[in-house]
Amino acid sequence: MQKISPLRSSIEAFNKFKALRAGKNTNDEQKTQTNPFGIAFKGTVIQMDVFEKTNNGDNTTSTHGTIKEKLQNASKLLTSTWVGTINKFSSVKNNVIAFGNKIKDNTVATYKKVQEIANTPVELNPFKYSVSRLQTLSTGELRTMLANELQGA
Amino acid sequence: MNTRKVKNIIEALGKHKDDESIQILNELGTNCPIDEVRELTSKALIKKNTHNALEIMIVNKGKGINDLSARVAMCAINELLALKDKTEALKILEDTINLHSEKEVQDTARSVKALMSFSS
Repeated sequence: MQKISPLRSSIEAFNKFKALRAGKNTNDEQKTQTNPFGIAFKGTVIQMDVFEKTNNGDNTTSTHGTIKEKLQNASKLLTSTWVGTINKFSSVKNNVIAFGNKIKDNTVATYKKVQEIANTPVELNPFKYSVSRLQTLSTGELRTMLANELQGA
Repeated sequence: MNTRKVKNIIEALGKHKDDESIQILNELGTNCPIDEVRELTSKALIKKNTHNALEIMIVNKGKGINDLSARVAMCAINELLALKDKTEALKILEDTINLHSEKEVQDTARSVKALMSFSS
């Protein structure tokens, strides 16, 4: 049986540790190569393919095809924008019409209610019975007005 | 009855310079069966602070400080106490105490005079 000296065993252990560390470092390098931004999400390293474009294959197509596709995309975008705008305008128009109709209905209802309650023409002079105005009237007029008001009481 | 209109008319008559306004308030206001109207009339007449107006409120039985409604009478007394120049009111109260035929009116005038003396 071979005798193991303590020095040799410690050297061997160090070499093993060194080799392990070196191996670990190389693994980390490999991982970081696929993750150029070094972004991790909840402990999981995000792979590079997350950042890759889905249309990589398009690069292989001809220039003519790309332009055509771009034009198609632009026309689609324009169409969708146009439709969206039309919808927006039509909804605004409907809202305005509904608001106008509501105001008209409310006004008519209020006017009818006032007519029903008062059953007389609405008095439009709010200052007719103000103290300052009444003071300018003669005592005879004031007597008549007071007598008329107290008559029903 | 439109209370706001009546109130404004009575207030306008109270501020009116014409002496006929006192007569109108005496005829229509103080003889009204509604307490609120009599109360407003008392205020308007006392605020005038003239001999004729104060006399109606102090001397007549059933009007002003002698009103059967305690609310109206108290309102009249409060207005008398609130007067800045009480000379005329005190003079009429003194005459009422000395010369009036009704004892009830004399007693009321005496009480009001005492109150006015204390308050001034």
